[in-house]
Amino acid sequence: MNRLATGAIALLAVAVSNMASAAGSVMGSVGIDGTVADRCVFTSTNVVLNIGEMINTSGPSGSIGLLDPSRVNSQTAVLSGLCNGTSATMSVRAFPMLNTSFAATPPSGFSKRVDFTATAQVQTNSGVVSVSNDTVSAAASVPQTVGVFANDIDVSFSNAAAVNNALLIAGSYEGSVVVTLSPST
Amino acid sequence: MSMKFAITAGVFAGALAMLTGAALAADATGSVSVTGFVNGKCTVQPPSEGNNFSGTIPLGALDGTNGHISSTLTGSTISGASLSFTVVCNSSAPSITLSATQMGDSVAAPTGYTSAVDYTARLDLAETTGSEAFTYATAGSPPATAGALANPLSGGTNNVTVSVNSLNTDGGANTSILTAGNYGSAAGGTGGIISVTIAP
Repeated sequence: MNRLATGAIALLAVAVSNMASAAGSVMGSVGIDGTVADRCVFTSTNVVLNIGEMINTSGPSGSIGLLDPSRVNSQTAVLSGLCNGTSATMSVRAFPMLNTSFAATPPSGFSKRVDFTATAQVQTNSGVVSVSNDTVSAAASVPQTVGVFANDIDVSFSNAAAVNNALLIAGSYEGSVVVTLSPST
Repeated sequence: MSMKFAITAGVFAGALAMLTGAALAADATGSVSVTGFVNGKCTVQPPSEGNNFSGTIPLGALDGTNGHISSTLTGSTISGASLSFTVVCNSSAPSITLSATQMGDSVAAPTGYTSAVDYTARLDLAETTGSEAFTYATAGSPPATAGALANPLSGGTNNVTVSVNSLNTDGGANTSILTAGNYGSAAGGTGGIISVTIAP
């Protein structure tokens, strides 16, 4: 009986050995993956608008020395940006033009501040998105969804006015508009 | 073996994803700066050609009953001898100059007579706080009076007043008889011009 068993085992071992050598190639696979973060970028440099003399220097009596609103309201600027996330948003914050040469409190009848409203507008795949902010507001505009886009953002100005429509004190004035693109988080 | 390899690859991929996620996307901001200026400027209101104001203060008869300068004109104030103007200045401390010329009638004055009348010109300016006054006496033709206001010029109307007072002759002695004629260039004589400059 033992001879039978031994012989049987030997036959099995040979059978197994033959099967292994017939397999040949070994297959393996490598998977790669990556991510693209939600991102927004401005592709243009910051813009500086120099509007020159800001007051009426001629015209009807009573208007001389007062702000000429058209000096501000006629201004436009173009920023270029892009966002790659479907939930990206845009907001805008406007900061008043302040006299950088005169630090004291303006006397009665005079002002050293010019307020205005700034509007940022961009054409997206879903249509035109527009956000506005005035310089009196304490915070930026409510963000609006712009989604995936790569386009020019037009910045315009309106409602320019000196505080209490007073005479503007002589000097240099500076204000700003900040447009923020926020990617999906 | 292949399974072991698969597990290793899966772990590696997960690590890569974690590294990428760690680079959080931040807000992007673009800015538009708006700059401008307001030049210092003083402007007559209503606007006039040359940005000038002008007028004539008529003093009437300069002599009294004794032929000397009238005592009604020698005091520090003369009723009605003033003119007011409106000037808008947008600077915080406008500068002022004031001068005036002696009045004459172009008549050669013999001994005991005079054709020259001196006076004091006065400039009163209303400011945003209070007011200031500048004076100039024509006797001796001194340099112009100059100075800067302590406060901005008031934005109201008639904030600049020019007046005349203290007419005199003979260095204040008032001893000569005035020759007959029209005194001051506005009347056909000579002088009698008060010059005011208000600069931002």
